[in-house]
Amino acid sequence: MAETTYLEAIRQAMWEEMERDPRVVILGEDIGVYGGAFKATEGFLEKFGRERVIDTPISEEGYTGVAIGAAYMGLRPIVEFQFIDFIANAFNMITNFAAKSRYRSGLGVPLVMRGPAGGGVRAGPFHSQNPEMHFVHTPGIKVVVPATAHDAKGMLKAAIRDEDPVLYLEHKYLYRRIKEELPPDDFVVPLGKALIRRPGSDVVLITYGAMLYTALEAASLLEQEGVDLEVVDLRSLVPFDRDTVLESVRRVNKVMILHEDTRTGGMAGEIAAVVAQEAFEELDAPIVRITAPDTPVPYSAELEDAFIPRVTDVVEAARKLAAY
Amino acid sequence: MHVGVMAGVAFGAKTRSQSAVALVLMEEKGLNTGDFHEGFNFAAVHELPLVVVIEKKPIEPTVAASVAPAGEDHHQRLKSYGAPTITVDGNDALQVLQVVETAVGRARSGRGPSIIEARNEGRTRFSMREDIVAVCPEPLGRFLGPSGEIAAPLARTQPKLALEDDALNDPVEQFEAFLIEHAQLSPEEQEDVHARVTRLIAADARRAEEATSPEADSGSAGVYASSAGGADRKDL
Repeated sequence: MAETTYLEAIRQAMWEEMERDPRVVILGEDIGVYGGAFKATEGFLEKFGRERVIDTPISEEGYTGVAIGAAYMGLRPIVEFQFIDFIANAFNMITNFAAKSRYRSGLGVPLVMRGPAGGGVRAGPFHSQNPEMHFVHTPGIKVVVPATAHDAKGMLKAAIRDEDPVLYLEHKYLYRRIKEELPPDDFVVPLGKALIRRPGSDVVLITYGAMLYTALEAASLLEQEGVDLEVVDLRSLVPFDRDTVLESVRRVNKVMILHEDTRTGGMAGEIAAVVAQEAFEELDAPIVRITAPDTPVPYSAELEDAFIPRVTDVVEAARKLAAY
Repeated sequence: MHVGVMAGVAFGAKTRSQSAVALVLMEEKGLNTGDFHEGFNFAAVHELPLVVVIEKKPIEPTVAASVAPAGEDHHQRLKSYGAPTITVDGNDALQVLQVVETAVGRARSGRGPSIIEARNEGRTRFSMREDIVAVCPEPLGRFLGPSGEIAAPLARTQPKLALEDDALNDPVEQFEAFLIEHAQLSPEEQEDVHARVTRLIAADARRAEEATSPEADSGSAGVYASSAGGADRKDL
């Protein structure tokens, strides 16, 4: 069986769900005639028609509102933000309408919001962000960050079938760079479950998204110097799999948290607080965070390379933590 | 915000081949928002079954600057969406009915959205400051008279000013006068309608007053469809 890229996995998930459930529709800029800026919806318009594949005006707030109203009428909309950075334009509609709809009026909004996040592709500050925390911090939204082609497909299906608004962040750096063989059948990866990608015994590294590969590469290098790194892929930020994280921490006793997002207010701080609260007695060292600095994503290649956490950053920190 | 969402409701109705039409009521001051533009533009581009009714009230001097559009007035700008934009006397119930029926019929037949500007220039039906002084902060129970009727300030939605003024431009009173003159509405029937409305309001007011408060620890209920969502304050 041929290997499927991360991008193709996303495309397959949407295609299969749209075949399976006539209520699934997709709205976004250039998704129809053009097939999507990254071709995630290539062929969709021809297959599913204009009523289910809607090219929108440049109006993120507007078409997110439309998606919410459509959800009220029993549709299951997927909204694409051409670059996830543009989600900023829909902030009001997402946080003040979609997120609060069930709590306030008993009206659930089975909406998926997806788009390419992250940097490393020289796209600059407005096309490279990781906006998860604005929405992790908003009760009523679920936030998921698949790192593999398998999870990209299974979690997108789960998100489309979920009754709550789900922010699905796909990392653009991974689109065509990673691939794997996928099961031929209809499979779903439940939201809210982390996965130990690499068991270890010296230091546990908790991460998500494209940083998983930085972590795994660091783990290989560390293995050569006798440091055994356990790598936990969170996969889901809301709900967040505390049980898997805490089990790892209690067993390995030294923790690092790695994410591409900027430092202050990032998920690492949230996880560190949980770990310190729930597993203080089991910690043998302070909790270490490796993150981007608190700046916009640079456009300059040298600055962007320094901005995004590197394998060497992880190796050095793990080495120190192991020796603590 | 709700124009975009209602455009979505209209979209859902159209996509699911339902005959529903989405009706939005709003005030003129919402017309400067990006939300209005994006939502209505979407509806116009996609010819959705949406009717927007804009209440044009006299604008208080303190807020005039925030309501005013660039250009001549909102009407000129609204026409640029290419949807029928009809102005109607908002105090004339029959005119409003006719205009809305036409717009709804248009929407239902797939010819897209309409905008109705309902002028209500004669009288502000709700003067926020005056009614707030009358109603808050006393509990509603204070306004129930000896036989359970709602006392005067709540029974009719008229600002204090209007009580002394004979030249009312109140749509309810206008329609009453029409029914008396053209549909032989008798004093007994008139009284019966008022009594029924008053009883309905009193019953709802009582239900609200008697409703129990939610349990203190039920705070996280309803945030997500299932409990496996976010965390309550004891957890994360």
